[in-house]
Amino acid sequence: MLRFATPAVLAVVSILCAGCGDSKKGGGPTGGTGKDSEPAPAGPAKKADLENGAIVKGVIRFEGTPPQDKALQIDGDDFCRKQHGEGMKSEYYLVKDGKVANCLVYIKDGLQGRYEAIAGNPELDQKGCRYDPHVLGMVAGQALLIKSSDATGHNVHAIPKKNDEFNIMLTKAGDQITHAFRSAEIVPFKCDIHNWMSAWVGVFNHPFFAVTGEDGAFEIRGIPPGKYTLEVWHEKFRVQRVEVEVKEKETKSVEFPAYKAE
Amino acid sequence: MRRGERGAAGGLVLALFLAAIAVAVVALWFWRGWLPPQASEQARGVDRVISYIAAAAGLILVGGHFVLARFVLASRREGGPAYRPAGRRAELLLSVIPVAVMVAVTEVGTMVLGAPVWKDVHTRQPGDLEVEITGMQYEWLARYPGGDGQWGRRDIEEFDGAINPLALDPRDRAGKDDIVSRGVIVLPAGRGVWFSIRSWDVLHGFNVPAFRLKQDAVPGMVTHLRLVPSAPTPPGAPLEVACAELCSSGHYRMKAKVIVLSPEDYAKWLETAPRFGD
Amino acid sequence: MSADAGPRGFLRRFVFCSDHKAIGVQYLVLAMAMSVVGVGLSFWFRAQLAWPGAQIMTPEQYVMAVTMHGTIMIFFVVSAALWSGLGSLVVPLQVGARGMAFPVLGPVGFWTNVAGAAVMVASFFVEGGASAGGWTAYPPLSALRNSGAGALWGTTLWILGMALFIVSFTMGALNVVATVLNGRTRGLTLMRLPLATWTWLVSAVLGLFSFPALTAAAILLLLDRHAGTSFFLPSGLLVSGRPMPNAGGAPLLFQHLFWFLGHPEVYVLVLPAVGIAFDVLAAFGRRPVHGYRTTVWALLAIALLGMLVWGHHMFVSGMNPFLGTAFSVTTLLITAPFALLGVNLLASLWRSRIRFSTPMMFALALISAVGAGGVGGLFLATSAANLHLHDTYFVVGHFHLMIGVVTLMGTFAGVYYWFPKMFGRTMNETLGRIHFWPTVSGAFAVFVLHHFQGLGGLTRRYYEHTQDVFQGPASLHPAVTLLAYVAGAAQLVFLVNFAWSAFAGPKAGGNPWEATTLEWTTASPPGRGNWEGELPEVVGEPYGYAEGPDGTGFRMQNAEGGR
Repeated sequence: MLRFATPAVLAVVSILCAGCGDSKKGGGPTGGTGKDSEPAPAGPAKKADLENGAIVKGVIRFEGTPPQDKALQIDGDDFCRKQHGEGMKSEYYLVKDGKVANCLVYIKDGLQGRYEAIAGNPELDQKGCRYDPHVLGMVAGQALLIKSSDATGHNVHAIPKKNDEFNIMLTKAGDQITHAFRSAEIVPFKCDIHNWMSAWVGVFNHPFFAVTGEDGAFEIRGIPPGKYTLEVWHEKFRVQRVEVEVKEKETKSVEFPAYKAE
Repeated sequence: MRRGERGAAGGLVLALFLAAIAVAVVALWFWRGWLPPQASEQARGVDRVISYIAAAAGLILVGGHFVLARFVLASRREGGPAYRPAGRRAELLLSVIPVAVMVAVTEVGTMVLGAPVWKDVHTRQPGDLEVEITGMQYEWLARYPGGDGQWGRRDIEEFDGAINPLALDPRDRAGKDDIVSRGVIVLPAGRGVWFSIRSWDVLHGFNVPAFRLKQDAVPGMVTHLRLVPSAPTPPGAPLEVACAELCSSGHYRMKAKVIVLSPEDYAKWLETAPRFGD
Repeated sequence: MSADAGPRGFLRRFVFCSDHKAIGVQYLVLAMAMSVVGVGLSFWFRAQLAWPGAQIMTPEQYVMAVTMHGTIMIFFVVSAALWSGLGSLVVPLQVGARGMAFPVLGPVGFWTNVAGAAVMVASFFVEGGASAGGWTAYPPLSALRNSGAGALWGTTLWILGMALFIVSFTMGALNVVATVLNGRTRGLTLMRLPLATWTWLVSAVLGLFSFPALTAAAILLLLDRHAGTSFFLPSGLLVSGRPMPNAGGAPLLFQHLFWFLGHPEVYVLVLPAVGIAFDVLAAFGRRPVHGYRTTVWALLAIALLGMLVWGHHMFVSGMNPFLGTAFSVTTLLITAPFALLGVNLLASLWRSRIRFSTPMMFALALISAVGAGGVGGLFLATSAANLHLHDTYFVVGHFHLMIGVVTLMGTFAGVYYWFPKMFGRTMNETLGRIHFWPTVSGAFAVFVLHHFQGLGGLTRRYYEHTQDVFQGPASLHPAVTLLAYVAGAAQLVFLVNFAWSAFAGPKAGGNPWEATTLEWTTASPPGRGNWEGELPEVVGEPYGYAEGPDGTGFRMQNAEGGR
């Protein structure tokens, strides 16, 4: 009997697996399901009130000499080499005059319920063997358009913790895919063909986030009145938080402690 | 037989067709050089083995097909020679000869021509240059021990896809002068190279067709391969590493360049190449 | 499938039917259905290879299609049609038995096989897609669920589909062994068995010895994937920059287990094809086969040596080089019995009086395919040459010639030959010719060209070869694809012929080919129990051709007289 017990169990399991695989596939337009994720806040998504909402803004700063980015070795790939005659550097520490780019600033705590996106669907391009932009934010459920502008193969590899991982080749310029993340988290992106390429996509349940530009400045609009915890995230620096309270139509400047050379 | 007559023409065509296949196979072989250029001393040995088998097996193949065609053609003659069972002697000869020929052709070939090459590519010689090759989805990385001849330690936590893809430990002094070369493998001509091949993730196949050699990169172990690059590659025309072991969808993009330099140029490159600790 | 007093009712007749002849036909139909999937996949990825600019598929789809093409064709087409289908049909008839030794294992094995095939097909539709780690499913790629295309669920289903196949094959093999050893009719000694049945017996034993290794490997792989074990996963793994917690496993262990099955599996499939060819050559060459005795010894030698050569798939895997030499020696030794088989096949044509019917055409083409496939094997078995040829199109061409062309030539020869025993009719000869020529020309051309592409270093399993140094050999891709389409399309003729002839082909008597083995001593198709009344009693050798004073007569295996 034992001889047949194992295969019988395997058979049953296989049928079960086929079943659950199929139902997952039907779960959403991209097949994404938030496994072991904290449930998104219940209720229908509210609209952010850009007219009457508050604005929070500020600048992320760095004191002292920031770490330096290093030259990348790209000689193995003729296409990337041609795009960058002067060579490429890693893009971890974009700090200019003490102002830090590529920081993600967002409301961490204090919001009630979910909010709809303010901006249209975000885009992540692969251009000159880099992800462009390097850091971006989006609202969960939005369709992220991922495309390639490079006439070489790239491999879009998202490595989330709560959402489903995916790994798709874009073989030529103009190729594109869309993907919707269901759970809030900051998702690292890689290209396995060019392992230096990376990007970070912040996924939130609300549209109250901003990415700092070269001037280190951020501005978040349409925030409903209330008390919030604001957080700043940077891929290499530690996360910092400040408490902020805003009233209707108020514009408030927020100062995070400056990052310091360690 | 009614059926036999109707099919006789088909049989004639079939016999000629089968013979033609055999001839075509052999002709194709000699028609043009199918093998890539020889870029290592070992390539000559490998090519010799391949050519030997091609000649020996090709002869057997053509011979067999001509026998096949002849028997088929002979059988369509009306009232052709009647069957009689092969005698004990004939049967014995027809058993012993093919076995003996096959064993001789193959085992002698592999022992006389093949074994020396096989041994050569698996035996490290004193004075060989050791180069470490690491495969990862979907890149090849080369490492040289630098002036101290010592390999720096790896610490997997130090991995950084952009600037430290080999996860060298910055605290290890031995690693400071290690040279990491990404996607480009630089080798000196005329000197033995002992490759130590590793993988970070899945199986990869370190394969340079022009060297005529390949060896899998297996995570968790180090595999080796020895070869002597025969001549410097012309500028702008490097050799190609093409991954030979399926490593998922980007397998076909897992390429690297091999640049062979003259010993002088190699020494210069070694001096100027950026070190890990820089 | 006979219409006489069998059990009534759809379920009893078709689903739980334990008649070996019906099960044989069911396997053939299953194989035809699965070949539509398997061949369809190859049509798809051959288009991508030939015209990469058109981007007919994505790289993920490509690796899935290649993987599933191999798996489906080997296990659910060739094995189902040749080994299980024709084996179920022919073995009891050739040994003079009323049925298989364990009649219930027949339908159970068949439906298990169907379940396996269904799981394989279902795997295309699960999250992450079908398995994409190659039909060899080497770990770590197959053991890591985050390693890329098809890794999430596809490989799990692949393992389960294989498990079902193994169960099914094991039932079939047990049945064949028991039937041949214990179910032979009176007078039928082992050395009087037709060679086709000999090959089924030998390959069944071979399969029973080798499949447990793959079963073990599949279970361990499943545990690695879903239970967090590390049988095949070493420490220090870093996947897409993420350190993995595994430690202590050995990726090479899987390769050993896989090929311990994988190589014997080649002989499991090839030997019955050769056995069928012997039977067909004798029947249509109107003379006994040459060297019956040495052929049997060669088969046994191949089976024995076949268990000792698996390492020749692993010359460049990182296995100890001394083992490489050892496996090279054993592998080249196995060419000796194969050469003997080849010579015996050839010599069986000496002074023959050939009737060029379709089965004979396929049997003759099989001889050629064995030769051409064997030549490629000599290169690959020589470890030094393997350094260059491993994982190139040379390998692809070689194994397609052996387990694609040889096996299909044998299958077709067998189907055309034994068709009367399935449906009481013969297949259409003209359609047979129309099927034969493009099949043989296309298949040979495609796979011989593969060899030359491989000599040029063209690596297999590449989505495209546009961005590399292989431009010369890759330029043959469009031609190869078109030839493959011709050969593939010709199979439609076979399907039409099969279906049409089953219902409307010319009625065949009990022995339309004037053949001598036992299956031809009963009606076409044989009724339940295969023989009305007494079972035949064998009195002589299986191939009683070229009898009588003028050498044109024949004598049935159960008929007195003759030499």
